Amino acid sequence: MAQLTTVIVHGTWAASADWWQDTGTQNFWAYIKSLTSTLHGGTGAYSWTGANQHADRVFAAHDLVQWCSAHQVERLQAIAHSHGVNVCFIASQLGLRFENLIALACPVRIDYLPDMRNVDSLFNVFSEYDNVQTPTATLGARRGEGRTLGDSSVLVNRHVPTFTPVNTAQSVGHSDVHEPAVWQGNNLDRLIVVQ
Amino acid sequence: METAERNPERLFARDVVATYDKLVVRDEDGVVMSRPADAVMMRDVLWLIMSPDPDLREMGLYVMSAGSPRMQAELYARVRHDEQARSEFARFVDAELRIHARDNGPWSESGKEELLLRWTVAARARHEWEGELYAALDDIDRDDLRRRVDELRWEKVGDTGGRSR
Repeated sequence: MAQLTTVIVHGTWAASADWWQDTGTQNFWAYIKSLTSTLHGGTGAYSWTGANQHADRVFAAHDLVQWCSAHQVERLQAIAHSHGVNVCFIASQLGLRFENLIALACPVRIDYLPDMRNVDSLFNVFSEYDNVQTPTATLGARRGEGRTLGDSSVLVNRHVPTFTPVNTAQSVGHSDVHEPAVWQGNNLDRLIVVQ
Repeated sequence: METAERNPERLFARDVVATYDKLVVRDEDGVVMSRPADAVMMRDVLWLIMSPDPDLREMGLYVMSAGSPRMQAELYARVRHDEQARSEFARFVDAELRIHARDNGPWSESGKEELLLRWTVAARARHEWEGELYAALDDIDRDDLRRRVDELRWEKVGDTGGRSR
C-alpha cells in the first residue's frame, strides 16, 4: 500500500505558533503523532505565511501542492485549522488529492470551496461557540452561516460545542478545537486515518 | 445555527464584531474597513486584544488587520504596558511581512506569470503598509516592534513552504 503522509496546516497568524509544530513539547502535534506515526514533523514541515490576505492563501495552496510533490507524498491526510482549511480547499481546486481532510473551525466562504472530486473524505469540525470563525468568514464572502458545508457520503459536519458531551460547562472556542482535551472528550481521534 | 453563548464577554464581543459588516468596503485586494471606522475600531480592538481570552484576542487581530496603519500604530502605543497584547501585535506584523521571504520564490520558474504579478503587487502593497506603520510609530515603539518581529523571524518560509531555522 502506498505511504500515507499526514500534515497539520495552521491558520492565520499562526506560522510562529507552537501548537502545530514538532517542538518537543506536549502540544497538539505531539498528540496527533501519538495517534499516527505518519505525521510529518521537524524542520521542513509545511507552513505558510499566515497573513490575513487572499493572495497568501492562494500561494499557500500552491506551496502545499509543491511541498507534497517535493516530499513525494503518495497519500495525503491533512488536519487544518481556520483559514488553513481554506488553503487546503484551494489546493483541492489545484488538483491536490486528499485521502482525508479534517477541517477544524473553518471560516466557510463562497470564495474558498473544496473540489470534492479531489477529496475522499472530509470531516468539518465546528462549534457554535467559536466566535472567530463567523466574523472571519463574514468579513469576506460567508457561505451560509459560515460554519458548515453540505453533508454528503464523503463530507460529515462534526458538531463539537463542548469539551465533552457530559461536561457542558466549558464551550469550545476557535483555538480550542486543536486542544487534545477536546479531541479526547469528543472522540475526534476516530477521524484520523492511522496508516 | 446560532445558539446562546453562555460567556457574556464572548457574546458581547460577537455582537460588536458583527457590526463591522456594515463598515466593510471591498477593494480589488479583498476586504478593508472604511476610513471612518478607524476610531470605532480602535475602541473595540483595545479591549479585545488585551483580553485574557485567546478567542477575543484573535477577533481583535482580525478587526485590527482591516484598519489603517496610523490606527494600528496608535493602538500599539496604547498597549505599551501590556506584554501579551504587544506579542499578539508582533505576531500579526510578522505574518503580514513574511510575504517578503517569498519575493524570489519558485513562481517565476514555474511559468505562473499571472500569479507572480499578483504576488508582486501584493508584496508592494505590504511593503508600503510596513513603511506607513513604522513611520507612524514613535522611536521607542518602533524599536520595540522591530525587536519582537525579528525574534519571530528565526525561521523562514522556504521555496516549497518548508521551514528552517
